[in-house]
Amino acid sequence: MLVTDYYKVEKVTCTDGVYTYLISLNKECAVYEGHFPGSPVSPGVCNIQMIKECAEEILGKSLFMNNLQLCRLTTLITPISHPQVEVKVTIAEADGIYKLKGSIGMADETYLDLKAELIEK
Amino acid sequence: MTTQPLLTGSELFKLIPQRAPIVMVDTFFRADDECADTGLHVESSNIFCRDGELCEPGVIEHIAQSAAAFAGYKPYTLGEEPKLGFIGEVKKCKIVRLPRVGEFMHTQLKIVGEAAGITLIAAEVYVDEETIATCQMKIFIQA
Repeated sequence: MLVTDYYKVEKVTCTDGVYTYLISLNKECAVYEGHFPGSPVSPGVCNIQMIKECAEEILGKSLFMNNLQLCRLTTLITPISHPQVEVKVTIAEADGIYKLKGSIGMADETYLDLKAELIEK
Repeated sequence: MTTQPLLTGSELFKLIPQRAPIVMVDTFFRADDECADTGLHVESSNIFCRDGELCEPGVIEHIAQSAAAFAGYKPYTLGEEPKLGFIGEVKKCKIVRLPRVGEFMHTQLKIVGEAAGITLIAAEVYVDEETIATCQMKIFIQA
């Protein structure tokens, strides 16, 4: 985990190639001291990193996200308003490029979705 | 590139609401109505550094905070507090290589669109003359 104690994986399931990570966000993480003072908001980039780390765990490889094609952040995520989130990941490899589709949400709601290409580090 | 920055280090706190340990811009060179130039010294103590490199979230957050500093510059010249800004969308973000500890990232920002509190910016990040990342971003500034 790049940002120490940012989250904790509670449960992982996989259905039809879609991995679902049930994750607890840790409001005590040091990053919230500065983002923002007195008003914790989960940094979008930390959430993108969380999806990448799930993909790394699935593949058992370290990855470099050299092409983030699109990431839409539609709902503000905070560890107070969203103490638990679901991270969904699908990943397919072709010619050494890992095509990643990921999202963060809960139940039927999506807070962030992501499409990216990664290579092995 | 202008060599003498307008603001450095904690002076940037006049432009951005982020504080340690997630301050990802430490130099503000200049801004006009369309463009701005910012920078970051990559230090090993950076929360997004691992194995001597600033990882992807650090590069993207640097671009986002550069945009926040750009947005905060005008209010600053008018004596106002910086406003909270949030990333709405990151698009076409290509990272050629990660910047290394000890390197200085210099970032050029250009506003390519503006509507209803949303600013679309294009950014190019350099280390010396080498382009290491390009990115487009939509930023929402809270009124």
